[in-house]
Amino acid sequence: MRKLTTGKIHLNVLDDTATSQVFLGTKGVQISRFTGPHPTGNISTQVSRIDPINKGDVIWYLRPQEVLMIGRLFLSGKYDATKIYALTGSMIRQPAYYKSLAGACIHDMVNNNTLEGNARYISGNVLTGTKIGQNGYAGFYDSQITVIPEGDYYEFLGWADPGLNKYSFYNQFLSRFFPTKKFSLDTNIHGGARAFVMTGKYEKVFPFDIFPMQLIKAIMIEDIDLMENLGIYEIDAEDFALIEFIETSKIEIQSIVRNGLNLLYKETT
Amino acid sequence: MKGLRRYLDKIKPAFEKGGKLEKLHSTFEAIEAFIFVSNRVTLTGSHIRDAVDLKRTMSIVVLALMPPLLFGMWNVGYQHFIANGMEASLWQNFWFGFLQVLPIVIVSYVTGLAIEFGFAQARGHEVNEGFLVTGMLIPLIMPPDVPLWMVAVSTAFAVIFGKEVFGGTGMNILNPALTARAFLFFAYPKEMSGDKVWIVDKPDAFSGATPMGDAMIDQVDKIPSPMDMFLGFIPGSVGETSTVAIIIGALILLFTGVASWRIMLSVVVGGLVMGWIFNLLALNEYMLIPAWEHLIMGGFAFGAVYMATDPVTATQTIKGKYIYGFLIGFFAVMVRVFNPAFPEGMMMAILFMNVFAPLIDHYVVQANIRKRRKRWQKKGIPDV
Repeated sequence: MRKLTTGKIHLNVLDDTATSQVFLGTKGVQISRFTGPHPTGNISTQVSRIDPINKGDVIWYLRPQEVLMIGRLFLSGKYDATKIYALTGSMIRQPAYYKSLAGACIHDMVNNNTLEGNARYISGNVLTGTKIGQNGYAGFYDSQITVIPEGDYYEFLGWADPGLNKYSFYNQFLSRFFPTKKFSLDTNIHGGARAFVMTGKYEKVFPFDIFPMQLIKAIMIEDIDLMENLGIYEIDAEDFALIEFIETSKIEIQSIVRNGLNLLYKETT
Repeated sequence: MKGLRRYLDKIKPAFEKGGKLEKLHSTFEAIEAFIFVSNRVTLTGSHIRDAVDLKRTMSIVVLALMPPLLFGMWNVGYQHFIANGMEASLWQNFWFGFLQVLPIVIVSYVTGLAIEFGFAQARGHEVNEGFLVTGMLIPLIMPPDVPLWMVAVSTAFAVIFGKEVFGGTGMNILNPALTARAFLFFAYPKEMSGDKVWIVDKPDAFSGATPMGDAMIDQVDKIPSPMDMFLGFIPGSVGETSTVAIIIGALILLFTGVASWRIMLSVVVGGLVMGWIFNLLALNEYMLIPAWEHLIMGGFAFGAVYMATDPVTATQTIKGKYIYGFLIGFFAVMVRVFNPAFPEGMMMAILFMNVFAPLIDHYVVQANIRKRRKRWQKKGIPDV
């Protein structure tokens, strides 16, 4: 990697005794240790802790599997896009690892291994992945396939349900009294789209020195100066996944942020 | 339930684009969504979503309003029978108040919801749940014998000019329920203050002014005992009298996280600070009452718990919430003690700070922007 850049190389690892010596023994890089719940693993979170991005900064990042691909290319002279996929989700009978090519068709992996019922096939994880069909293809950057139940059902007086079986970030359901309970989440939105109403909640799942709601609103009105000022360079759409998950008004936050980044890219290049 | 679902599915096409009743789409959608939570699924981004929605959140607030409402009904009866020198049982008190308050609740809901449905229809939006809370708040801050037509007029004013002209729930600048009360206060001052309104069918011989009405006209000694004010055995608006009932509601709101504890706390701190300043100055008798007594008098507790915490009209930033709440408490006590035109300052203080909330947020956000630009400058990056 040091040959590919003149800049500094950071290697961020999980702060855990099980972390492999392969990582810890790497030479010529700055090793930083991270620990904590999601979104600790997100690139922007880690970058924001090491050296926040400023306007004009360029950062490249690679995941271990991608480093392996590049390594194999230089060792053997062949481009070998083999990677390991994790097959996950509550609709999967037997969670498993698969060795396949980047961008592989998932049919053979999920076939005969899913439970009965209407399912959502996702390339990536449940928070940021892409919806693909049963015969779809994994995204180039993804190394996880998730299958969860579709939520296309009606729920009688669902908003008034005491909520023993409902998973929520908020204390508005009885399930809160059973902290060890496990839930199978589906793709139902659980409500209609509304204007922003609740405030002060985003900050609990958004570990940046950025005002998320103000930034989202700046994107919605396409005010580029304001977006830059509010720190749009420091984040990616995936950093808003948890905000989108807990959003009471059911606003498509990640799509809005994606549009903002696209607009920024278009206007600045 | 399946039969009902089948029926809704059968009539649904008529309300959709190109259907016969296309114009009533919002109304159908609202009723359908009320009975059945939608079957819509996520398309991109986060594929799973929290079970919470605005209906749930608003229902929690309505639930938290039940203790003051139920106590208020009882108290309306209690004050009535006391004023008339009669003894009454708990049930008689409650029943009298129930019959007195229920029509106000119904009028408030019917007027407001009709307007909300109309606007949603005209705009082609879904009907927003915000009015579920506003419709319950309005009766609670009305005098118990307010004429029903006034409730209707003020509710209509609040929903149209307080909310819908700005774009509906989420866009409004002023708290709609307080807008309704402020409208009545200024449009019909005689009916809204003085000593006429606080007790239903009161014989003339009995003076039933609220504690603050008394305090204002230099009758501080007439203020009821702190215990009575805390428990709520005093005349006043339907929901504001009992601090105990309000605290129960506050606990519900705080546990569920629906209302901001930062705002509640800072309103109380603001009120206490102003109270202590008055104690130090001690220019008149009203200034001498202990600072903590301001918290249980009049609409202070009700405003702090249910009104100041309205997320739409409050500040949105965390730092902003402390400033916003503090100033509400501060100004409420100041207006209450100083301004002869307003025996109660809570309504004015909250509406005033509603207007200033965006400004407070602006400065909090600017501080964040300045910090970021300083970092850029250090690296020699040109300004945006």
